[in-house]
Amino acid sequence: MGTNNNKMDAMQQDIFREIANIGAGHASSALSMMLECPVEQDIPEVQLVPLGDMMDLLGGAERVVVGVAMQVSGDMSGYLLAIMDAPEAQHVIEVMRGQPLEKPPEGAMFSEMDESALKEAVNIMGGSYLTAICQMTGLEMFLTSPYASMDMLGAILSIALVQAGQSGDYVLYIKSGLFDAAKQFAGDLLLIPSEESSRTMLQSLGCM
Amino acid sequence: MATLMVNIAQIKIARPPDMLCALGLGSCVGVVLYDEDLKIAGMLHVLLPTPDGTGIGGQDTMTKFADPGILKLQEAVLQAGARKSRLKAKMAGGAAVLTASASGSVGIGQRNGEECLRMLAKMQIPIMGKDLGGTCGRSLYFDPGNNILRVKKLIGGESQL
Repeated sequence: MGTNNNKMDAMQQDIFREIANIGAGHASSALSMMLECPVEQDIPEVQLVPLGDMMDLLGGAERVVVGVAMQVSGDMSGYLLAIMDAPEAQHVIEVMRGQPLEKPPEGAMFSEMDESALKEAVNIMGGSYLTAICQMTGLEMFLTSPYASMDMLGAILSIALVQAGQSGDYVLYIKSGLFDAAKQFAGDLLLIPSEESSRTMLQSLGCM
Repeated sequence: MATLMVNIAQIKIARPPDMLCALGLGSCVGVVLYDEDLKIAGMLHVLLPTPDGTGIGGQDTMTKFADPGILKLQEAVLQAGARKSRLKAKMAGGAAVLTASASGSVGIGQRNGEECLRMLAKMQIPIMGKDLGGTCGRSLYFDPGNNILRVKKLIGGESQL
């Protein structure tokens, strides 16, 4: 795959899916401990699509979501994002803090402490995800501290599309859906590696 | 009446009663060029200010850049019959949604907005309305029938340019 190649072969897709499986497996264990209930994961979705098509595949550019983004650096660059609907973010915060949501200041999505709890939860989840991938690939990667916002999906994801657009016209995303059995929580973890990094990942596993 | 969706890096042309629409813009900018006499309008959905010069591919879709995307937008509206001397512009977007976020995209919204303004100034197209910056995503709706650009935000509601 590459800038001028907008296709992934079946083997590359399988490798990314396996990476997602392992990453999300660890992330769901971490989330499970935080939420104190079993958390499962969907079959990961791996897509290489034109920049403008990504929003529609993830529920539409106007879908209102809570997004928490972390930048990946080190041997790989890219973004790791957690995307969830507002009630689900609220659930995570309430379980994390063991108390009902605080009233947010005007114009903000959550109170400072609530937002901080959400970011911490995503940080732990993202850290587990990435650590698992590091162990699997032998690559060394780091995460920046998370940034959170509630906005339209298009606005949240533009941060990752800007990165993808700088090197090509396509974006690769690796999506893992996490949910708990009681259906109180469901959210997506999205790994969006830069084009170069998607090759690094494949190479580290002996493919390409 | 049709609503034409303008996705990232796309240019669409509309005449009344059709509308132009770009949804969920974060750091992206929506630029509209219109000829009010002939009621022809075109919208471009800008992702990045300029090619970064590293030359790593991605040059197929030059319309993802403000420069040369806005030139392509002008070509498209002129081709649809608009007159160059009558072209006017409206634009919105360029927010910093995940504020102070990751280094690579610090200020990308702001840079997008500035590059669009610079291009339009260079092309001598008057800017009749703009809503740039901030920290909130936007959806844009342009009606070539009355040349109003509606800007919808999650927080702060709706405004008209």
